[in-house]
Amino acid sequence: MIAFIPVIIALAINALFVGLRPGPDSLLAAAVSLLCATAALVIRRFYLLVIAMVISGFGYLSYMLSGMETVQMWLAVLFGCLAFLQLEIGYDAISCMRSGVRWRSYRHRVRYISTILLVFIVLVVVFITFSYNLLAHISDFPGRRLLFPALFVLGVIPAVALGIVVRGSRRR
Amino acid sequence: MHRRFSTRTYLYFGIAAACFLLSVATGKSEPLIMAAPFVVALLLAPFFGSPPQAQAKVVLSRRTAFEKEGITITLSIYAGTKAALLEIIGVLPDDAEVCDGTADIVAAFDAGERRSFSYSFSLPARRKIQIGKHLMRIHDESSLTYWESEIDQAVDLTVYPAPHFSKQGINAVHTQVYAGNYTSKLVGEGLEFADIRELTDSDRFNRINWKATARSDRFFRNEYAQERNADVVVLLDTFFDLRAQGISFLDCAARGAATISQHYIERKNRVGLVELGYYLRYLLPRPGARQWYKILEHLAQTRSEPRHVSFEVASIPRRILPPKALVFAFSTLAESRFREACVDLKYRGFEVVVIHVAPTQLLPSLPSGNTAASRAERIARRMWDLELKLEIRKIREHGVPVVPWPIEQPFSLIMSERALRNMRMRRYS
Repeated sequence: MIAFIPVIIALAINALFVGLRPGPDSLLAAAVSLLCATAALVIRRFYLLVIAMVISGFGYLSYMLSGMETVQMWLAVLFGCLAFLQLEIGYDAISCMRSGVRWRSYRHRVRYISTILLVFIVLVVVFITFSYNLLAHISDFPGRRLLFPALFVLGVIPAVALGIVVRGSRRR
Repeated sequence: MHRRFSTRTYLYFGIAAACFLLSVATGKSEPLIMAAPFVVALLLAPFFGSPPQAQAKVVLSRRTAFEKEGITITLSIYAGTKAALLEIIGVLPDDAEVCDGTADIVAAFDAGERRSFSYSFSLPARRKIQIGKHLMRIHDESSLTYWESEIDQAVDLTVYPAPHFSKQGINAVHTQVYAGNYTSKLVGEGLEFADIRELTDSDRFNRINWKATARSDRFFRNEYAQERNADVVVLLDTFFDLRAQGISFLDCAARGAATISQHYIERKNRVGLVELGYYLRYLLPRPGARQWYKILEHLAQTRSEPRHVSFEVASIPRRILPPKALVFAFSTLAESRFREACVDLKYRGFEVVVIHVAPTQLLPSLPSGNTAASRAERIARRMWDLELKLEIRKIREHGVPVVPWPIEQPFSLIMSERALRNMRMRRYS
């Protein structure tokens, strides 16, 4: 069941793009991508998983070149996270099935992947905050008194979570 | 231990670079954000790895084994530091077959943990090799880099040719002086009845033949044939070796030689071994189980090494080929020098039996289709076959029996075949 997580992620990515940009080309790309992801796990070949991700990437690219900017940014974050998860879990699943090792041996990977994603989210928050220069556009924002505490919380929560995860992994 | 980057590192780097180029080409920052998790993973990778400490000990269950017999390797691993994922790959010969467990071990170790793993394998053909070398990889938590080292605790392993158990074989015509299982032409102490003669003063009374004595007025006694052993020499043609589809002539010949030596040593005979080719290697004929193991050890290393000098029968010392020995010659008969040696031995008074392994059955399979190349190949093989048949006929004309051995049959079948057993009778009839 765990081995099919990459397929489920591929399904999620493709469903997202088909939903956002319905059409025969999106459906075809989604079908081929899913087929590649499933085949990668059945015949235990990692390169097929990369091909599946690249095909999904083309779906995102076609959407990006025609869609709205604000939505695209969060979609890029989502797609980056999902693609990273798909490759990380897929690689482990394939190597696990090839070697016949139990999934339990790969438990340390959960901590590592969550650490990377947390760092990524923190970076994205910082990047979006500075690139869109939100501070310059909030002078007429009605709830501006709450903005700095909100940004502080948004920055601190992932940082604390990251600290807990890293400390926990070192203890173990 | 050496630190290396895994393939995943290069893949992530490629994804990040492609997204960067895409971002530059489209003038949008989204592809860059999309690649950010991969960049973060690459940047954080050095913080996840520190040089691990691990020790491994390799123990081989046996130093000698027969072909296709299981050999167990036990690996005891001690991890001084935590190893997120430890991978050990056993370096085995290409044709080795892992019959129990796996030679690629993957496991996670906590600091100070000690564990043992074992796996069994078998080898399909005789050889003398060093075995026990393993490659150890310790992946860090990111799996983007790993630490690699070699466990070089190789020990010598000798794989003996597997003999086929055989009950029947050729009885030697000429026996030797030591006690054995063959009835000699000479009378003496034994169990097989040979003749009746008149009792003399020095004879023992328990040998009196009462029935013969009752018919006359004199005492008669039975005479028995002496039970003696024979000298058997296995002669291997090492002028050249043919190998196709994992089978070689010398592998087959070694199995045949092992079968013959086991059969004759069990029957108290002296068995020797001579490799006749560009080098002369030999084992003096001796009896006993120890000699059989010496022969097997020798056969495990038999090989063909061409050079510009070769040996002939005249140069073989007398003690290696005892007079009137029964000689089994394994050959493809493709080499004229070996054919001449067989005939030479026959005229020197040895009892020679040639076991012929047709070289055409050791060639690669014919190319498929009815092309000009496949037709030419087929004709060439047919011609070679006919030439060999002619040579075999010439050898047989000299009174040397030639027994064909189809390699898909075990040698014990060839030994038990009536044709082989009766061959000597036909020769002397």
